Amino acid sequence: METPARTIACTAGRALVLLVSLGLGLIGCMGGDPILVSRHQGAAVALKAYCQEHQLQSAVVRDADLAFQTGRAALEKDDATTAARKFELAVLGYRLAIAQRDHDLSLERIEKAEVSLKKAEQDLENYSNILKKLKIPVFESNL
Amino acid sequence: MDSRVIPHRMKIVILALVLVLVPLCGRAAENSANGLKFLDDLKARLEQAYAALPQDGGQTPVAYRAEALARIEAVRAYLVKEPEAKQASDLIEACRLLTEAAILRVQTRINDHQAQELAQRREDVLRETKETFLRIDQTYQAIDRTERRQIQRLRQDLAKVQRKSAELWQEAQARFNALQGTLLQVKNEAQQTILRLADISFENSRTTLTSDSKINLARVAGILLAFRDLNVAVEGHTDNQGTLAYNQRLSEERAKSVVDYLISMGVDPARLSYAGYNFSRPVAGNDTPEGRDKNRRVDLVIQEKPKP
Repeated sequence: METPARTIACTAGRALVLLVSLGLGLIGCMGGDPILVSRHQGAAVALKAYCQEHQLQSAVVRDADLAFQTGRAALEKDDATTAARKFELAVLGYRLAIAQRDHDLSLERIEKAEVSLKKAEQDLENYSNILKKLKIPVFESNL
Repeated sequence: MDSRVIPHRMKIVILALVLVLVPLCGRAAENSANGLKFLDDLKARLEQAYAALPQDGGQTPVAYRAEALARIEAVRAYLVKEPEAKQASDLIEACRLLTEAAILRVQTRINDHQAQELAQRREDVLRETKETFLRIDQTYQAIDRTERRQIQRLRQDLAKVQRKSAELWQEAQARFNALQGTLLQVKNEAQQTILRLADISFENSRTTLTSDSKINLARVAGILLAFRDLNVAVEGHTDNQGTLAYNQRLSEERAKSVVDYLISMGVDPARLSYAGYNFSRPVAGNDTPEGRDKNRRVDLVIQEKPKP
């Protein structure tokens, strides 16, 4: 069963991703590498922290971490264009990792729902069998 | 020298440039075509995933879908315009990441919808289970009522049978009492009556009943035929004249003679039994002829049949 804490975490993750997306969209409209780098880097840092906090350790996260490091290296060389691209790739990678986590959770919910349904159906079958056995003619004829 | 004539060295340079640039341009064009095809595939996958959304789940927008489609179109237009762009691979990778995320969001929406359907089916099953359980409870209550009625009816029937049985028993005892004079009734309890045949006697063989004895036994047989709920145990007794073995055999044979005669009168053999007790159960002293007469006797122990 999904815990409330997990649900809150998922919701918070989605809200964070939405805010990051909106910010990036605004920055994209405004243009300008320094501001773009700053925004992409800020978003990447926030999403990276979120992934670490929730122990997301997939290959996608590792690729995003690599892009993040490449972006920082580019920034140190004053290559703002490359840094902005790499930070954005990192942001998108983290978003993909979070989407994968949410997808996995949805599969778990299906599995649990199937198990619950199967148990409920088994209970119903048992009770139906009991009811069938109870309705024996000797009693019905005397009711 | 003619100015229109291209120098030989220049020709060689131009040829070399052509040989180098043509493959490079071709490779760039090929890369660009591959990139565009990759973007088209991404778009197709996203739309295919989105088409699988259930109708009632597709009303609210799926996260990233619009953003992914817009980005794919923007990158596509850019690559068409700038086929040799250095950052093409990063732009395409960004599209891939965003599209993969969008597809996962679509699939998550589909999964959540399926989980909701399963939960709804479970609710339906639980409702049906509850109704079934209620029917079981009602059936148990009906069975309980029926059993109570049946028990009450059986008790009433039993009371009737017991009353009837008591009446019959009283009537039978009254009939046996009417035989006093020929039979000596010595014991009369609730479920058992012992009739002592006072003047029963045997022929010379000492085991063949005399005619008078047969008349008395015929009266007893008549009562037994009228009251079929009575069983009779015939007990033979002797005085102490002679050996134990002789008296044992004599008491058994006399008891058997009485049983045989009752059977010949139509009494069901299953209702009859007999035993010999020699001189072990005297009712008087054996030191006088009168006492020995009393001890030479046959007792009929009359009992009610055990009820099933």
